[in-house]
Amino acid sequence: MKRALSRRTLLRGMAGGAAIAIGLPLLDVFLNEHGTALADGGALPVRFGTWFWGCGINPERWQPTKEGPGYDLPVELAALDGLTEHVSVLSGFGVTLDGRANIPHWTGVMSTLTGSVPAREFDVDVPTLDTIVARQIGAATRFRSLEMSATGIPGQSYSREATSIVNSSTVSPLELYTRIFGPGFADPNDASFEPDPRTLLRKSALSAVMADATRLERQLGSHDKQRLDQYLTSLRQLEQQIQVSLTPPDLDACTKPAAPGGEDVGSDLERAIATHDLMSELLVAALLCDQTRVFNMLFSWGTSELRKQGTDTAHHQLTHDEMVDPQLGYQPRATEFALASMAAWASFVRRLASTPEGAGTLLDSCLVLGHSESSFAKSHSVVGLPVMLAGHAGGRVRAGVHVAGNGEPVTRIGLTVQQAMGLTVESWGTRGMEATRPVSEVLA
Amino acid sequence: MRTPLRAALALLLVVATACGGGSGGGSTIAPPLDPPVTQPDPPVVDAGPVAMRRLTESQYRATVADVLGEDVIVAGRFEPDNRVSGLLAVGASNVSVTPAGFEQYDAIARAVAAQALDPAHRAALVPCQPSGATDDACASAFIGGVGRRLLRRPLADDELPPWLAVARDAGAELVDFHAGLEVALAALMLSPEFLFRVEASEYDPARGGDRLTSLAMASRLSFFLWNTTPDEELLAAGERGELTGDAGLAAQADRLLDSPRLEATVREFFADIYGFDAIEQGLVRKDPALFPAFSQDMIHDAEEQTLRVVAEHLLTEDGDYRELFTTRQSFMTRTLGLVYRVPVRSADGWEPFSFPADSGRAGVLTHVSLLALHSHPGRSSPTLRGKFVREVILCQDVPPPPGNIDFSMFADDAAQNRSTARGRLEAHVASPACAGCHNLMDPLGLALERMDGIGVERDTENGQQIDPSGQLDGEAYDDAPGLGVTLAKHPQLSPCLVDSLFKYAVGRDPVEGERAFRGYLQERFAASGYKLRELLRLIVLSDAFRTTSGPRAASGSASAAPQQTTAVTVQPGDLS
Amino acid sequence: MPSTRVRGSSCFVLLSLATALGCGSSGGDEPASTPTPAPSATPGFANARGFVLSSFGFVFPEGSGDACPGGFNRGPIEMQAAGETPLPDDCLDPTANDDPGFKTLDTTGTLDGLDIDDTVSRRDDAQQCAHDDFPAPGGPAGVDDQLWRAIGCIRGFQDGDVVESVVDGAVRDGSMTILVDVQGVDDPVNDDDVRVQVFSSRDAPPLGGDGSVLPHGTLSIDPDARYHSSVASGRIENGVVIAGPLDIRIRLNIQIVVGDLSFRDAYVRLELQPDGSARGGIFGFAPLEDVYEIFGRQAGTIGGKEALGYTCSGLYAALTSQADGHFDDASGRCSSLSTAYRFDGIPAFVAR
Repeated sequence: MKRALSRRTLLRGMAGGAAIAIGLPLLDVFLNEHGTALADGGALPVRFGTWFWGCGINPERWQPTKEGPGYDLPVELAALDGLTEHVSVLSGFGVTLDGRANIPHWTGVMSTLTGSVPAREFDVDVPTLDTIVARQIGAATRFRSLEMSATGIPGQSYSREATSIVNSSTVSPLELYTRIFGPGFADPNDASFEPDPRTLLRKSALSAVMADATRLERQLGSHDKQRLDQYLTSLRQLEQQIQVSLTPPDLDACTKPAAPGGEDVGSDLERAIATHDLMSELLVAALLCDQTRVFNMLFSWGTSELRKQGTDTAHHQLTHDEMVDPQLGYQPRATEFALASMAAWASFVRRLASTPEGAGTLLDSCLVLGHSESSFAKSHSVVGLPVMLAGHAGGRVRAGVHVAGNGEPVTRIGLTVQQAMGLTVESWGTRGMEATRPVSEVLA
Repeated sequence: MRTPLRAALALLLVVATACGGGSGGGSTIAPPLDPPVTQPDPPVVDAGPVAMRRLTESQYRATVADVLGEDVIVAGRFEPDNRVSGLLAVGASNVSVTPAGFEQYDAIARAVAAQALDPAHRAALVPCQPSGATDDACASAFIGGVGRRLLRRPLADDELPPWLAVARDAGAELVDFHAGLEVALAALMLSPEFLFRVEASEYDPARGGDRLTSLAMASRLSFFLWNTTPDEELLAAGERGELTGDAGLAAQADRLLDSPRLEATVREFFADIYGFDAIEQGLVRKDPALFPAFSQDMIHDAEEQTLRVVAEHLLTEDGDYRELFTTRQSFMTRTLGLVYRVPVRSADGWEPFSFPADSGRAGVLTHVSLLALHSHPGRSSPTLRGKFVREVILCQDVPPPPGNIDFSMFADDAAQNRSTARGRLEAHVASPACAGCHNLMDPLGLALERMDGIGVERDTENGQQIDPSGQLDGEAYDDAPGLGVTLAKHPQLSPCLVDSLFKYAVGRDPVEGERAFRGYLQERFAASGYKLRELLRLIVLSDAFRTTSGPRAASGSASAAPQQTTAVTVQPGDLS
Repeated sequence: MPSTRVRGSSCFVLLSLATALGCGSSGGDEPASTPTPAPSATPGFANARGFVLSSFGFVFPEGSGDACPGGFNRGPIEMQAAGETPLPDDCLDPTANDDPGFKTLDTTGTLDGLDIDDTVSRRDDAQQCAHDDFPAPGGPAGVDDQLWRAIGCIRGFQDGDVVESVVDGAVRDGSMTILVDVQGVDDPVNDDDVRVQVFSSRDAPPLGGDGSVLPHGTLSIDPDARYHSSVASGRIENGVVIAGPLDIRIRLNIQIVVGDLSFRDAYVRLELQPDGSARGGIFGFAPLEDVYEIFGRQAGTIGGKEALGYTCSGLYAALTSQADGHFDDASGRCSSLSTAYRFDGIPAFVAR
């Protein structure tokens, strides 16, 4: 159903009333989606995100002993105190290597996110989970997805369409702010908002670019055709973005946040925590303003470079070099970083849980996959990867349960996520990692 | 393709018995192999495929400067370039544009277009006075002219109308002719033919195979030798079809080779293989308490220092490539003087500097840029440095670490000498699972341990003397300058440069049909005394550069490259 | 030049004690991971040890007694606060007032300075410009610091107060960069022939991210040769350099006070530390008019006396009465005051 609002939106975009042909069939589709889902106060969109930390945990100090709801919180999970009703813990799901090498700090995360055990380092043949979900639900928003990293290296991102197509991370809170709430943002609380007349002109200019690309495609080989396809997808996303920016989001909870300062970024722990806090705050504002429905937050990379200021050795190095203290039973310095990572995860979840939206909180309509690339990093173990799902996905998941995977492939979780996000998919993954049953304990 | 280690060792033995090499202090390098009496013709080449190559950030910036004006500011964060097979130049033929990347290109293009069409700049680009807010003739002239330079080919007649319509509609809407051109220009800069170099090919009946078109050769020549878009003269030669002929190609090639603009490519190539993009993007960070002398200014100066030394030696002095690893000539600023602990008389800017014969520094491996880049934020890393030498300088593969490593060997800490890096790394070579690869890397990095995590010289670590001696594939050295001398004699050194430069030129890994040609290049390079200009000339005039098997086919899984890396500073699996 | 026994500091009382007391070092140091850097082999810098000062300030007396029994001097603000009307006080003509009752220092504490005039004197001695010397820590009397006698009861000059922090900041932020260059060092522990010079510099010292001065920077001497001191011969004994006499002029441009810090017949002492840095002092005569130019004519007229707590006429009177050097026949009085400054020096290349 086309709403009157959509025509008004079109008209507002034509300054001076002069009509400009737009002529893209997508326009009606996404306007409809954008309008009906939000403007008439209907169901809030469900958001999906991943939250990644590097170098795992100490399994025997992390894994709950009780299954089901009301699970216990061992010492490395203690940060979730007060949040257990919102977080499901999925322990014991892992990677079945099927004869392939366990590529350190790579196999675990890429198996979780792509459904396949990678054959080579850095090769990603299939899109990652977040891009699959983004194709489904990211079409309607200004940004198809947002990638953020707290330790300062843009190239570090697990969000990929294919080999060499990496959705790189924004690493600076100020840059993230500028990107979302800078010049392209239509502020709903700005009474004097008028879309810039150039905005629609830009959009129509993209048609000429599209024509150029179509002409080019004819002379390309198959390798380049694939790349041009990706280019066109990105072009359409820009058109989408321009279109969305014409209308301020009609959302009660949307408020443009204050700009952060230009703080330095880096991999020392204190700075990573501060960067993570700032970017989480901006992400929450972006979600409330429906600027995106898919996000990826990297607290630290697979070979976690987190480091205490003034010390010479980073987290990853410690997991390998530090001795297990015979009294304590774990590596004290390395474990500090595991605890800090869990604390950061908890603060992220808590932030979503305490942000009001509609009749409840932001977390009610979110589904966040918290995961790491190994369980016990010292031995690069991909058995029993630590995985958590936070949020209620608009009622589509059952939160607050501990499920023991008993060696099942971690791809079952990816399958579960896709089904919870509304994709019609019966199985996911390849070879020994093919998952045909979701984790029904967490599906509503 | 990289020479496996065994073959390298075998070659070393052959060389060692065949010719007496000098050794010891100073920069004696074994003389090149005797040049062949006759200069043989290059072997037949069965060239590899072509693929579109995304402009790197520096190429994009150079293009804007050359086409739209030197003072036009390009501001924005470019999507990171991707390193494949050790080169961003190879990754460029694999990447596409992500949504976030496209968004950035759009923002950059709009800002550039606004500057280019502002009252101060427009006269240089708009060859006519408009009659009103819309003026098809004038707009055509502009779009045709700037479009030809941006897309690196003349626009076809049927291409013009859509762009013209954009300019017309925008000019009418905004009641401003030049604003209309601005919208068109910003969109032109999003065109895939601007962002990517499409290397078009055509059938050449004389050869019975495909060759790059004359216009495609203009781009290839220009980006390879000057790292920028073809200038007017080159583009015109391309349009006239001159660049598919031997004489026409040689004329333009020699013009580009003789120009001081050649330095741009030397800098770009070495910045690519050395990994300086991490420095450019501000990704090299050090703990401020442990390294108070480190700053972004300092590391940028360090990068410039290395590139100056390389350009000076290889171009200005037309020097022997191998001497890059033994030369004591350098340049300094006061900021660098702090780190190198040497006096610098010039208060601002650069001055030449020579390290004394007894100093611990000689050759690029002792440059702060490489030492700081291939280290951790908190300390140095012999393994990272050794890996760099193997992979980048010698083109030798170092396999990734195995998955199921038993780390219990580190359990007995007290018994082991852990004060220096050498002591800490001994555990690597004690275990057979680790020794194979670590023996390739660690000894080389340990030679550089007398320079700490930012390249400052030191004699001791934790109170213990540092021992920088070691051996490289059987040749012993006492210290870092000694490593440089040994490296300069290594039989893999110049073949590696030849191969890297070849990959940089064609934007991909070499194929089997190019193997003989690469051997030929290596011989000629050696015969010339390892002079870079000669190598560049041989490449651009070769069939490998001019011909192709056609457009690249999509591979089933990854591309043909055996090793792919993303452009991050720390690699998964790195331990030391 | 004072006799071979350099007085004024516990370190120098008896050479034989010097090593036993571990002079100049904090004692029991572990070997540093970076040894004392050898001088650069670059021509012009060989056998030189250069330093840029990273901190600079007065030597304060230590020990017993209330140095200012009558309290601190009062500037206009204090007077007003006490309900009094400040007297007319023309900083450009400070002798216009009658005796303003300025309080000078009266302490029996020790001062780690130098017996510059090689004489132990007392105020009631018969000679001209007679004054009370300070005792050195742990030892004999004879240390000269009449400038401190004059200004030692002004609040703003006290340890930890305004002048100290401004001056200390100024040597680091480029307002008053001071270079000390020791040339001809064949042996940094014992060398009977070295040459010392003190320069101003227009360059600011290189600073690390934490604000500390970084070693091994290069700084150029001031292009104006007036800010190059004379060259003094000296020697090194057990790692301590002593040289003099020197005439020194240091340029300062601190906030809006522009002037010179000058010394006549000064001695420079540097104790070389294991990490290559130096701790030392400058002990010499400050021309009275130069001192007054800064604190009277410049700072005094722009709020300095209010901020620091003195009157110009009082200050001038104190400087005149406490002067102990360079007797001027024409005016019939001494024209300079002995001073003691201490500093820390960071290794630097002094480029000429």
